[in-house]
Amino acid sequence: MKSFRCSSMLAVLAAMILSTDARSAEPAAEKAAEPAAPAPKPAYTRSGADTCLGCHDDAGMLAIFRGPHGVPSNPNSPFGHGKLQCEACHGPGAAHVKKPPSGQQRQPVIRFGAASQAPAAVQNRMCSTCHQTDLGSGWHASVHATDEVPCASCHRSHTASDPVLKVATQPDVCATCHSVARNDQHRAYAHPIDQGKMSCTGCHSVHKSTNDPLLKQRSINDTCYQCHADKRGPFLWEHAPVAEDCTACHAPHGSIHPGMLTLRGPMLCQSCHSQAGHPSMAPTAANGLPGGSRSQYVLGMNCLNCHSKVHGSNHPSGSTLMR
Amino acid sequence: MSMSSHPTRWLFALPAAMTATLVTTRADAQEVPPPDTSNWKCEQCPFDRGHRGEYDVGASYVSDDAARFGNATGYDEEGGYVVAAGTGSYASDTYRARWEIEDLGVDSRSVTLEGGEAGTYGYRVDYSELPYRRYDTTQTVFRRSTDELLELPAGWVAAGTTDGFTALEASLVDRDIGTDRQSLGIGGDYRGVERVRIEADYRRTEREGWGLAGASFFNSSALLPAPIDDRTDTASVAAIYGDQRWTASLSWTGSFYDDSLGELRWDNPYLGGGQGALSTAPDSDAQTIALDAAYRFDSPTTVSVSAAFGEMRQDDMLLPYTINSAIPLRPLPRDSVDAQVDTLHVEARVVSQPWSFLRLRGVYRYDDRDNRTPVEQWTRTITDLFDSGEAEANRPYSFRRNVLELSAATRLSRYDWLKRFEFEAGYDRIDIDRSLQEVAEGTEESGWGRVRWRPLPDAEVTLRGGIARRDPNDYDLTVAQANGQNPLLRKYTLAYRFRDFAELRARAGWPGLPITFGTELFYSTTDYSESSLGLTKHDDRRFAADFTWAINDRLSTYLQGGYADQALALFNSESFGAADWSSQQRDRFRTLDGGVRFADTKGRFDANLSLRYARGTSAIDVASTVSGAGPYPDLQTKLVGGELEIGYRWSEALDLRMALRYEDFSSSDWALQGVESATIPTVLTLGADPDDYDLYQLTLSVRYSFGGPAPKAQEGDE
Repeated sequence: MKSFRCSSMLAVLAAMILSTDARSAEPAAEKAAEPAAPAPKPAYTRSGADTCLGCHDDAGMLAIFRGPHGVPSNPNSPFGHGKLQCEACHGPGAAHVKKPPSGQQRQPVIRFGAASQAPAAVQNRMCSTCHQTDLGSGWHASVHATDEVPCASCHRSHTASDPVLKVATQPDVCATCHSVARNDQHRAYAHPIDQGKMSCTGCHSVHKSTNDPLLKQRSINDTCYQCHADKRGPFLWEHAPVAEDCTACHAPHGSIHPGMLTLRGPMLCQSCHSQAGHPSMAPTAANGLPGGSRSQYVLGMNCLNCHSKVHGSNHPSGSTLMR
Repeated sequence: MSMSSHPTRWLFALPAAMTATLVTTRADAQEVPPPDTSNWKCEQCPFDRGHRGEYDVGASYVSDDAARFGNATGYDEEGGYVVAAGTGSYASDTYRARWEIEDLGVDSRSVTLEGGEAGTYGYRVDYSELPYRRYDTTQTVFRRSTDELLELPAGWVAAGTTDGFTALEASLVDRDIGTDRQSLGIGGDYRGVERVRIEADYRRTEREGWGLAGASFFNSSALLPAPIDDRTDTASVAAIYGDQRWTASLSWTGSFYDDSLGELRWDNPYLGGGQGALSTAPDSDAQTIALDAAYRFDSPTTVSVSAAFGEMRQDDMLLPYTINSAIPLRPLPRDSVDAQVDTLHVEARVVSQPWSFLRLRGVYRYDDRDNRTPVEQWTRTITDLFDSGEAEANRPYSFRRNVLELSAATRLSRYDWLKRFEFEAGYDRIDIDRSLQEVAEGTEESGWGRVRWRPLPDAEVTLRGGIARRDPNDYDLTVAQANGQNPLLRKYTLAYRFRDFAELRARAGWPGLPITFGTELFYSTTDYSESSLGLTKHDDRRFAADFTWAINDRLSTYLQGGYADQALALFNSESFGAADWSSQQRDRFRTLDGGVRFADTKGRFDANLSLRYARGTSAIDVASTVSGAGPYPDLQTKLVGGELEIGYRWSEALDLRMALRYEDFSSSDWALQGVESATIPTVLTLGADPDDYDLYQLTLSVRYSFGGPAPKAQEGDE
């Protein structure tokens, strides 16, 4: 009986601990979002947006009416017929409207962004209420979701044009967290991202991707073939590492070597090729450069002076990738 | 319930605890009765109506020719350019449209139009051009006499080596290397059915210009300005369903590549004469059908699955073994390759948080590339000069890859300070089977741990580290020897390797101040310790930091930069034995950007100043017991640039704008420096010079705005 009582008490204690953990599992930020005692029952404002705009009528706030969220004819928009207007995203606001007692702070509504007191899960739940088809099946198991990145870390709704949806400004948004990748783009040989002609979503799909690098297509190579279909083949004579993974030789975010190669030739090729004869010859500076023997294996396009079909050849005599 | 009265009652405590957990976890989702919105008139809401627009017209001047400056921008030549750009929109009660015009006066122009009835349908039409400018210092002796033929000029004097080309200087003509890419896209979506979206897209991309191709006759070659003329058509259709529980999509994607040129022939500039023929990329198509679905349980648990079936095909008519009429023409084993690669990608993911303090994640992925190209025996002609005399079979490459990723994260909330930490650990495994390669089966396993600390809502520090080991089950030397490889070489894509890595990310906003700071450090060391020959080591270190400060509502500044350091070591053997030479390469890259922005929304002026510095170096040292030792001159690239933009609001509708941009780019590349057309005895090059320019660009324009006040995009009080 005594042991039974102990185990029962332990079970109850476990229940208490787990319940406590559950209640406080969201970081303290959620606690801060909860109203101070006594908590009023959530309720909506009397007049919706007309109530909110009585105080929040600056240009930044009103910019929402120039974007897709502020379209009254859209039955799915927060400002569509019968919809909850500002409170569709920010939650019930009646308590926020009420003047707080002296010495107390006004009750907050849900704010969005990395600096918000509302946890990412609470913020994102508001967005996903309407944007399920936009999220796709990859989002919820993706690294941005499990790392609790709020939608509003990347997206702006109180604006005519969301910067993350524009090619020229999207990289700056992504670079807020991905600064190493941003720096790689500044290397001498890179995709035209610095020039504003390509953006991160040219290759990456943050919402819908089902792979770890969050690529638009199912594999690295399929992503590259979107723009470089001439490298796809299939060729009669394949170069196996090319067919498996373009990043075996290329650095897609940028490189200081032409062609965005990871290693300068001929050394890149000699990492894998050691056949007797010229493939394994040491490309020494003394022997290779214009002041020396002016080697065809070192200067110009090095191995590609002859082996130009490095991605694969469809020529019957192309087994050495020279035709 | 009296816990002491019945022996089985403690069994109810655990599920009760779990239920309490779940109920409590869900407690924040209080149901609030929906309000009566019939009186929510939104009378103060400034809904968009009518036309709005903002258009820039002006002129730009670039002070010098520079292919690199014009790469992707179109400003590659000294001189004047028309500036025309703008954005506009139209809104009615039900219909909306937006358009954007960029760089209309240069070769990087783009026009985008999108519109539709919000919530019902949408469409998008876009046209864009992208110039790729590689070299503007190149010259060639070849003339393009037909689409597929490059001929030598009359009077050409052949020789055994390039220093014998006595007519070379008189034969050279300028030939810039680069392409122009034009893309037209049409797409749309329909959302007329609740929770369903239908999407369709089509895009045609055409590319025309000149690339580079090495074209050889045995051990003598010429770098050709290879004409490029191809197009790619892509299309996709998808049906997507989404509600609070389910997301599902069924899609088809097709890509169709067509090269206008079936081959490239060129005159042999060396003794022996004749012509050679290079193949071009074959016409090909690739299609994929994919099914993706995800379901969100209450717990919360999300399960997602996806399957994509793909096929790549090409069936171009083959060129003959040789176009050398002196060699008897042998029949090909088939007229076309009939190449086919089937692909299959399957993935299943589960992310679950059974208790608030524990998150579990599991991923299984299967990738299959099944190359079903027929195998034939081919007796090649070596560079259109002589038969090899040997039959060799083509080697269609296939692989299968299984990936398993498991991780668990916990957040302990026993103490106040501890609840801000999240601890995560994971195990990943990749098993890959390859055909026709030295490694038929290989496995890579990695273990990692991560700590995430969130001291404040807008501050986060993440530290992640781990190790990974790739173990080829067996390195098949018979395959290596059949390819003529030194048996000691291990290809770095297949070889045993051990990697340790670490990553630190930190981001913070200063409480109460509009300052943000972020930094990212990445480190990895990869050892190919079982490779006597081949890549043996690869170290990678990268650092980035950025700082932003919104000083007040008109003035803000930013500073960002980084450093990257990569070192590689390679061994090989000239004597087809043990290593007798090595190469060390060290690449370093530094970048620094900064700027100040002034925007006085109530005043007349706005200004933006940005500066950039980027410098890369690659130091290569090759040491050989046979051929001597010595470092190469460093490969270097350096960019110093800045831009000042000033705008003056002349009136509500008119802005005057000026932009002055300066850029100084220099590079040194021993592969190009001092390498003229006939510098290399056995390669007739194009004589390209490393990029080096120093120029400015001045743009003056007038901006006309209409359609009401244009609220500036701001960090709204969201």
